[in-house]
Order: sequence, then C-alpha cells, then structure tokens
Amino acid sequence: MERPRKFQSSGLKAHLKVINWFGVVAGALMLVLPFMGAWWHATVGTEAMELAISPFSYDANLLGQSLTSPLVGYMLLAAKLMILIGGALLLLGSLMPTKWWGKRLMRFGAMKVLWMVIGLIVMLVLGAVFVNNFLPSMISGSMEGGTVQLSVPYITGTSTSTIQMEGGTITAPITTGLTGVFWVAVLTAALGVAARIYHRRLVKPEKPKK
Amino acid sequence: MGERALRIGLLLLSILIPVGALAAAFAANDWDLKATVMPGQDEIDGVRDKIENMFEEEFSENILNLGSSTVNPSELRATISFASPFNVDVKITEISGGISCREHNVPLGSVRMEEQEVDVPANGTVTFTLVGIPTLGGYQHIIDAHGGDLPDVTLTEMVFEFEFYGVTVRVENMGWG
Repeated sequence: MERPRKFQSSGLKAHLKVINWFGVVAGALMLVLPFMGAWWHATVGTEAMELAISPFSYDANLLGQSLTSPLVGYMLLAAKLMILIGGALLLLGSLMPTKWWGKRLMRFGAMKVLWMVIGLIVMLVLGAVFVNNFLPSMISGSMEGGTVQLSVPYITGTSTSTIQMEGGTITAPITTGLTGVFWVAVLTAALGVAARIYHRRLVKPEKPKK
Repeated sequence: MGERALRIGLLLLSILIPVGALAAAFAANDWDLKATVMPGQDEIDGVRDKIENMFEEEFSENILNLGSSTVNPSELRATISFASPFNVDVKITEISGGISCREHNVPLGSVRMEEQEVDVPANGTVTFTLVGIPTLGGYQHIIDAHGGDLPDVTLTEMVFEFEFYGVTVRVENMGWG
C-alpha cells in the first residue's frame, strides 16, 4: 500500500534536518582532494629544479630529470587511501548521524585533512629552517674556499641563494608558493572541524536514566 | 559490543594502512634500505649525464673570435663572435675586462658587452659588440705598431656572466686568448 505523499514529504524533510551538511561537503571534498594536484610548489631558477608536493603526491625534477623515492611513493599512496576511506566514512556518518555508528565514522574522517594541512606547514617550516641554517655549513665544509648562502622562503615567497667559489659565483632565484588546491584543503579541514562540532548539537547525548 | 568492534576496527585501519605501505615499499625493493629510500640509479645517472653533457669536454681556443673593429681616441669597438661550448641554451648577461695586444703584450684599454643580454642557442654561434675606451698608451700603441687597426688581442681580468635554466653563473678574473 502506498503511503500518502504528504507523509513521505514530511519524513524526507525530517531526515534532511538531521543530516550533518558540513560533514557531507567535507566528505565529498575529501574524495576528490587526492586527485586535485600539488598543494605547494618550489622552483629554482626557471627549470633547474622543480618540486611540487601534496600529502598524496610529489613531483621532483632536477634539470628536467624526474627523481622518485619508492618509500615516499608508497607512503603517499597510504595517505591517499586513508583520506579516501576517511572521506567515505565521514560522508556516511554525516548522512546518518543518528545511527549508533554515525558519530564514530564521522569522527574517523573529520580531522584527517586538518592534520595533513598542519603537517605540511610544519614540514615546510622545518625544511626551510634546515636549508637556511644548517645546510650551508654542511656544504661549505666540503668546498675549499667557498661559501654557501642559501635562502629559502618560509612556505611562500621569493629569495636568492648564492654559492661563492674561488673565482666565481652561482646565483639562483628560488620561488615557492601555495597552490589553490591547498586552500581547498584548508576549506575541507574547516568543514571537517565544523562537522565534528555540529554533530554534538545535532545528536544530543542521551541522559542516563534515573 | 558493536561500537567497541567498530572502534577497534577503525584503529586497526589507521595503523595497518601506513604500516602496510611501509612494509610493501621495503618488500618491493628486497628489503634494501638504500633502494627503498633513494631515487633509482637510472634517475641519478640521468641527472649526472645532464650535468656532464652541459659543457663540451674541452673548450676550444676559437670560442671567441674578433671580427671587424674601429678605434678612435675616445672609443674602441669590436664585433665578437661567440661559439657556444654549452650543450644547453644560455643567455650571456655580461662580458667585460681588459684587452691587451697579444703580440706586444701592451694593455690597450677596457671593454664591456654593449648588448644588455645575448641569447645563445645550444652549441650555436652569436655575434655581439664589445665597446670601451682605449688608454692613452694603448691608443698610441695601436697607431704606432698596428697602423690604427685593432690588433689580435687577449682578454685579461675578464668577467663572464651567463644564465642557464634561470641560474646565473659569474666567473671573474678569467683570461682569454
């Protein structure tokens, strides 16, 4: 027997009201984020060295020759797999937040992109600190009569690095920058956090019975 | 019971995926640390070849050749042809230094490249102009010993600056010829 249309419509409305829309959007974005490309890029000179990275992929080129590390490749694949699973579970948990597993699935995926954004920023800052402060003395030590001044921008910007040898100088401009995909990741992370907060309001914990 | 199983399942997922990837990376490379972490030998060889093949093995004496020239007391001007020893495109941004008479070893003056920059294709030949001011003694030597024509010269304390792949290389105190 068919249900009256009005009843069906009010049931759908009621269900839409309990969907965690922040989580739905964040989950959908998490499913496409690994395929959108690099979050950050760096270029030395014009094409002398190019580096484009995200938590899911990297592309390193030295004089047009690509350089890869099997370990990094596998770890990035793991990150991609994790974010896809996290995104799917966040989506499922947000579409059915009142189910007993809704909160657990939502929480599994909600913070993943935030940690990846924070991880990338920390890695870039630490990398710049290392290259600017420690690498020059390591290289200078192996060059007789030479000095190395490396200056890498912190996260984004342009700088110039110089290697001075007896009778000559090599100067290379370095340009780094965050891509549009990074800001999509920031948006996804923010929506993930919002989904987690909103879930608490959406599904009030049951008070223990007296 | 179900919630506890789900919690454990998700926790195991978080651990097993990265640990599994780590194990797979090492297993795929016969548990060799260097092969797993570092780029492949063919890639490293590729970079080495690119660097080594950037320059000709031996620089020819005929890289710089003097062409037509004019000399007067206030200006010295000479056309120079440059046969690039580089196997990549370069951009010359500065050539400057002193010139001396090769035959009599007399300093004639100082010169610099007139053009702001000159694009040189890989192994190509380009011409550019060197301009400068002759010293009083240098001009007199050109008149007295060479009849007013610029003689065959050597370049001294030369500065040679060029750019490739956006990287600038400046070599100072070079001699040529």
